[in-house]
Amino acid sequence: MLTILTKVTKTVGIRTRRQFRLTLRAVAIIIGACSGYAIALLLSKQLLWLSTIPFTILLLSTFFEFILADLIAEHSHPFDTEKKLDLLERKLGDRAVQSISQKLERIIMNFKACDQSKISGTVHLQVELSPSPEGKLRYGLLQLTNYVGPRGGSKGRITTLDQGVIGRCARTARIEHVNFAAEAEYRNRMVEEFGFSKEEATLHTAIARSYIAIPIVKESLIVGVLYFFSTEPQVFPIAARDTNLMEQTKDLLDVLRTASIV
Amino acid sequence: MDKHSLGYDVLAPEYYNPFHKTCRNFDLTTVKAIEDNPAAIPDDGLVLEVGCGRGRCIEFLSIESTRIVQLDYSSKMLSIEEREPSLLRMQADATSVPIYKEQFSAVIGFLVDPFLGLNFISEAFRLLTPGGILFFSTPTEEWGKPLRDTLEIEASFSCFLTEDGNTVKVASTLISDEHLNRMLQHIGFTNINITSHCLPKEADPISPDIQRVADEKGISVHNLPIIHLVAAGKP
Repeated sequence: MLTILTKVTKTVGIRTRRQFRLTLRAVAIIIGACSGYAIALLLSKQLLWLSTIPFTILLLSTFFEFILADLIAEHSHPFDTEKKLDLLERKLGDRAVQSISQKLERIIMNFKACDQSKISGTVHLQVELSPSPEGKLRYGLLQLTNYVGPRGGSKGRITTLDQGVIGRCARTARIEHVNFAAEAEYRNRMVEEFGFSKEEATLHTAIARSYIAIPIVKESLIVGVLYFFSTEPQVFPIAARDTNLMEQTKDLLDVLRTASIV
Repeated sequence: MDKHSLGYDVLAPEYYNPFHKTCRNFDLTTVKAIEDNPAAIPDDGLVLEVGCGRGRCIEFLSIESTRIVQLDYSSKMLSIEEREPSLLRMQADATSVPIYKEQFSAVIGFLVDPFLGLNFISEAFRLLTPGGILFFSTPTEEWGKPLRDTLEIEASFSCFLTEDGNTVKVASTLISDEHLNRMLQHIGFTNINITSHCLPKEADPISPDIQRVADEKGISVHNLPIIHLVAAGKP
């Protein structure tokens, strides 16, 4: 149910927690107002028993607005994630975010023997997540910028270190690449090899065929991951062979360091 | 091993039947194309036939069976009984062959679109001895793309209609000749020769999927390039 709701909100362009929460409120108010009107109408016609139907709907929409909607909003758009992203963006400033996007575009233009118009890229930063119930510190990767290129979701997505190609890259501190021949293979391997549940893998856009993740390292510590994917099959790692990807991450590191993010 | 073998496992028992008219038209076009552009396959050394199916190196190129290593990802394709003899049969992914480098004087493939890409070309380069040749055929973009657009199927897939009326979807990458040339050069191949070939006049029956695209383009079916023949040497 929540999965469908998240899909629908993304489709209609709702990205932030605030937009999501306001939409839920608007829906509850509209349903509540319509129910109130129906109750008044039915009471004026002395249809007492029938008026219990809109009354129940009114009760449910009130319950939804005051209790359920906050829980759903927290599940779909964790406040913690938004706060972290907001803080990072304020620290970075618009110029630095723009500069990162331009650097990503330049790297894409340097990939050889492939259709560059099919490549998208972004930067993920390693961030601390809320501790586990046992009090253990947990880390994740926060997507810092919107994707550069034709595809991909917007910034703010959190991936834990045990998930995905970027999680593998952050764990191994090596350049990681993976290729899929078809959508079915993508979904199977996301579950079998890349730490996602079947439900999570279903939510992914599976149109890309070739992925590469490059660690951003500061003093031998992983601070983030540079990430590209292409809808053209078998692009990585060969297309990036002549691009000194580790050198490119140093440029990005400078931007992050200047903004005191790392 | 279910990367892209499943579709071909289903197709294996009937893939070479006359029912699959497009494939048979491709066969005829390939034979004619090789006649017109003889491949300079080295006279000695091992030959790796990728995506081999039942094997085509003897039929199309008259290579001795004792030189041929047949490789396919589909176990059902490799177990077709009526097949060309070979030195060895291998079940492996053509983009990642578990064999040490520089073992083959030729890497050959007919209709390599299920695994065509930079990684396959790079793997072929790794496996070839210096002076070796990569020789393959693949369907053209000018035929396949309009067809897939018309049939509203994804650009990276091909659909087979089986004899019992089912549809089997398999991965299939279509690449233009300029892009293929760039890829081969990037990997390090030289003496690259890419030619395009149309269905010969003697083809009968003609696949409706080839006819349809020719009709849409308003040209004769014999003027529509349907396969590329690619030859490239490892320096």
